[in-house]
Amino acid sequence: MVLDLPILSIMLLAPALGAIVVYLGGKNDETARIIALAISFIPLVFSIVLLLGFFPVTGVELRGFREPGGAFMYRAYESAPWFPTVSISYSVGVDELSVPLVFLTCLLTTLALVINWDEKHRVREFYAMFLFMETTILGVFVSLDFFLFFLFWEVGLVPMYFIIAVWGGPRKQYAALKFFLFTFAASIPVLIGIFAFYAYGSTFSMTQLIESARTGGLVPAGTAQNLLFVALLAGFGTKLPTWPLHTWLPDAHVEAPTGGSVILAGVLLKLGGYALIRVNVQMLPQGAQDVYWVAAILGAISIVYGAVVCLAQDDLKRLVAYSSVSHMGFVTLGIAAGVAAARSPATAGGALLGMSGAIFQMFAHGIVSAALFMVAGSIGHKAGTRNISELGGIAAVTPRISAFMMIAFLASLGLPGLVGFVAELSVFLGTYAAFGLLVLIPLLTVVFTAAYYIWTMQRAIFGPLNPRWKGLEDAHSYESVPLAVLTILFAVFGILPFLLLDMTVAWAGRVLGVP
Amino acid sequence: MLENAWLAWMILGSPLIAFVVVGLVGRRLPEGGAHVVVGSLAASLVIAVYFLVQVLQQGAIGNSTATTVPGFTWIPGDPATGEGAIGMNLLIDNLSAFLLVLVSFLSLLIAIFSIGYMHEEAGKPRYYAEIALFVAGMLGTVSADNFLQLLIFWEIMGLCSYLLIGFWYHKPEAASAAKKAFLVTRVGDVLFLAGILVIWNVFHSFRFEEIVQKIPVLWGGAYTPQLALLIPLFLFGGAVGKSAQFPLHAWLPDAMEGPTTVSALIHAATMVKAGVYLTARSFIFLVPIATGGGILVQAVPWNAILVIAGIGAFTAVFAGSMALANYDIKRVLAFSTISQLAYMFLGLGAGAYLMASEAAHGSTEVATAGYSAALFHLTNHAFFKALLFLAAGSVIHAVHTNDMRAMGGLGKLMPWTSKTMLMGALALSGIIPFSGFFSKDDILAVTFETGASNPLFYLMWVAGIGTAFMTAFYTFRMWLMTFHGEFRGHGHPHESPRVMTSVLIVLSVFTIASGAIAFLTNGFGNLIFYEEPHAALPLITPLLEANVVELALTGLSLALALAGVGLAWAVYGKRVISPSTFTKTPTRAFLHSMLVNRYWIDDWYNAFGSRTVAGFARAVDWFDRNVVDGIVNALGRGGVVVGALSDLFDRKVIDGAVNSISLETIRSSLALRTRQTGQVQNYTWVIVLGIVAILVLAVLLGILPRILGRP
Repeated sequence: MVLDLPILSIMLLAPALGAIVVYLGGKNDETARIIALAISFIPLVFSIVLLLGFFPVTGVELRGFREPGGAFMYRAYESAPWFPTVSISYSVGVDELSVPLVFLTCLLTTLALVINWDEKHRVREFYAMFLFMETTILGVFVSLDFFLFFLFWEVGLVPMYFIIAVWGGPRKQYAALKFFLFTFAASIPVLIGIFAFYAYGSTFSMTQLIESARTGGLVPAGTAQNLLFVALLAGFGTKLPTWPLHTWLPDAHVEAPTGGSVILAGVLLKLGGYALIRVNVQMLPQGAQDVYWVAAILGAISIVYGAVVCLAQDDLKRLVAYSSVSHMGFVTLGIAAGVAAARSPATAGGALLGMSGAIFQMFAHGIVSAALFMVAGSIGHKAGTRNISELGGIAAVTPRISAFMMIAFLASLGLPGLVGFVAELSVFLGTYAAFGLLVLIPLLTVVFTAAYYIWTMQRAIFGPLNPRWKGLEDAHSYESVPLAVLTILFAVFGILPFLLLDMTVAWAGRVLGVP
Repeated sequence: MLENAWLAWMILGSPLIAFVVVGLVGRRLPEGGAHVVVGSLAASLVIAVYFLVQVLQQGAIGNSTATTVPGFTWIPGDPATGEGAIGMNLLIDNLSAFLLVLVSFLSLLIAIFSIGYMHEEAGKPRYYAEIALFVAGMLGTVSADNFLQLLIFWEIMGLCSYLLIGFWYHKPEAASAAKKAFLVTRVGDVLFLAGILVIWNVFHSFRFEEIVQKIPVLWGGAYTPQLALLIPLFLFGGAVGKSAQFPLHAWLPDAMEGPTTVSALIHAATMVKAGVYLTARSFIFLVPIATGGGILVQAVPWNAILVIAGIGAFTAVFAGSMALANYDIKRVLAFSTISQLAYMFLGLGAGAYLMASEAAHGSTEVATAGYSAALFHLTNHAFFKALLFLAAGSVIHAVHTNDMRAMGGLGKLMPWTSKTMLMGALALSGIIPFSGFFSKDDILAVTFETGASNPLFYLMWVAGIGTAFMTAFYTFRMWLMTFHGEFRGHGHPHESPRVMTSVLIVLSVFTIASGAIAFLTNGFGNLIFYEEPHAALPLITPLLEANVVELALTGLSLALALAGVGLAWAVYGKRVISPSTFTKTPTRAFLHSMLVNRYWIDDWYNAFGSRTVAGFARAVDWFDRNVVDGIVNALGRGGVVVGALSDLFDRKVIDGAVNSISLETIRSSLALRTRQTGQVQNYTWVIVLGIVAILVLAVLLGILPRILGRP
């Protein structure tokens, strides 16, 4: 079955138009919610179709595109000239790197709409904002033109800014402004980078830039590539976020509403990791080979530092936010390890796993952190506090939310059989291949990670019930359903990781030039 | 090849299905789904027996061939060659087939016992679901055909032990013990994981069989002497955590906070035995590998073997001594488990050393007596420790306390429990002809024999026979304090229900009989062996060969065990020696309190965790809030000032539609305070304006290069 629909354009347009429909058409809050949820299923269904297109077994075929003589294949490709004079075009498509993230975005948007079902403040605007945000995030993942890419990249800040600033907690203004300024400042090196690529390649077409970089015909190797690599690492690394550019994250998360945190941690952070691979690795291959160590060090510091700081947190959301810093460090480290290990044929196998592990970790962290923030938000919402020290023994009164919390914690600490373990294992295998026994530094953090989660559970949900929480409500159905969906995905991708890894390993082989 | 090999998946599949069923609908089933779990374990047992029979028939005893039951590729390898792929397959050889039977049989008995023991508990569905997953984890661990798969099931089992130790999670001690178990074993797991990383990067495979083939090929290349030393040490680190050996032993005594049936499961057939199993599987890194042209002795990591045996010998004494002074019936048993596991590690270490040194001296005969002896002891210990724990559970069920000072005289009130537990006590003490005697004697004999190659093993042998004395003493101290004399507790204890005592009786039969396996198979080494089977009957062989030295050694260890029993009888039975003798002088009192406080090691660990680590974390947190974020905020304030200045500049100097639109965006972003309370229509307006501004800006910038003369 060949699908010749403009799938990606539909996916981009549907939520954006849907946002207007929800805003204008939602007579009351309930209709607005239902319309928004219904609309969010359009991109979700199409994203599953896209995923199926990458499995020949399913028989779904998508329109493919390959630059003449190029190594990389893009599917569901659409292209139309936009500003032909400067070779700007509307080009979209997905490949093995972006398609898991596209699915992740659509899935988490739908779940985020459900988890905030009881939001009472300006409901129409709230839901419209989420749909609009979905378009901008999807836009970044599917754009194959730098102009389009940057457009979505920048516009995406706006809805998240408002979600924090309008529907956030007590310090929402500080947090929202900090989020905006950080990410806005980080756009400066990105913009410079894009112009540099244009200056060298005379095109905004990312597919062309990637191919010419692969054959060494884009940015001259040496200082130019290395400088660009570091500058873009700082730009994308802020979004990731990597140490020491991470301090906006805890504040933004603590103040954001639950659905906002879900999207922020689940998807927005992935923009950084995605761009790091798409741009830094694919368009600056020699620069990556020269200064991969900067990324490796930042990644390793993030992993260790985030985990240690987690041990000192009392606020559940801050805890999860710092754990995100730690876990996103695996993405940076995995990328660096993949690039470094690809230099020698003896360690090429590890290189593939390092790079694939980074991609897998983006997906894994996406679904795990979404569940973590749902749990933290739900507890905070009902108890009026998220402080671990004030909770205690609540498993006795809230068995459902406690069970979800435990599963999400276990998935996050890398329990085998769940999704996080596969990602960490792959990244560690790649890190050993690249850096040998230095892998012990990030590896030992696994103990810290277990410690902060297990200790949190002991204090928050186990032990004698704090009498204050005798009447604490358990999870509502609109909280249980999204959490159950995510829990099933933890197990599916933890037990059958080849569903993603088969394609990412093959793709990583092409990117790293490993057979 | 095995017939119906795919069925092997059902050995672990069956309890997994039970886990899902009981987990989902257990609340609506009678006894919380106990019967589903019992049935699933019975099914596992039947299938496991089916495969054991096949394995034994096929090669007859002693010529077993390993069969790999294919599964699926878990992580793909090189896209072109497929090298490095990580699969999920089962390995059925004599060791795994035997252990599958042992594990499913004992778990089945424990599950049946639970029907009586847990009858009045509220959380039964949770209990049975977790038990089913736990057993599936152990069955998966012993049937994995590669190290990674082993680790995966090993950790699933670790999770279940965490959940079951914390079964009564509302009790602070239980919650704390569960945390301790998870974190302490996690330290070991990380070392195991480190070993996994090295193995894959050297061999590009985790499969036992493939690694054995690749060692001679890669030796001198990717497999360097340093890595040859590191890999077994890392793997042993995992075993130390799981099997609660020094210095990661602290979790096991606390793990007694769970239901006693869980303790029986953890100590008898699952969890702690996994460490011994892992070390047995890592023999491929310890002993010389036969190559086409001879035996590769150079790759033997002598020091790693010494570490394994040394930790074993030390822990045997160390844990045994802590059992001497404890009053908690379950904790005494827990320390004894640590000490007995240590025997197994000593046996494995001595066996590997002996094998390697014989090969180094040109002997082509492979001596794996230590390997077989350790696994023989594992088998016997599984039976008698299950019996001891379940009997202790029966006692606790009756008197509602673990404290032996509130027991006594129960022999008359609980005759079945008392008599069956006596069988277990005799086996643990190593009194002939109970099972523990044969396997322990095997281990000590191998250790002594290895002393000829390295005198350190003589020292370890002394530790071994010293432990034999202590074991006999504390075991009978426990039995006598519980069942002998007058009842010192409250209430009216009575014998446990039939479902519990019948399990005890079955187990006591096996406790006596498991030693006889060695006679049935003409030596345990004919059943479970590494590489080559060997007939070595305990006690009988030296008798036949009239080896005076070995007979004397056996006699000595037996005499010491009897002396231990005698001393316990003198103190707690006949009472000719008062127990207060042990605390009479200040030195003795100090030693006593040292043992009671477990050498204060737990206190040090707690202090390290709650002061050192937590303090460090708070310091880093302070650094993050004040230094990293402080710098950023300072920069941000600077940025706002610059922004405000440029805003002023814009307003004063530049005029025009485009600029005012982008200005609107900047101003609304920076000075949101004024807008915050205002109309949402305004926000929407701002968004639209922002998009337009960025579009215009981008178009202008895109055209810029053209204006500047670029194509």
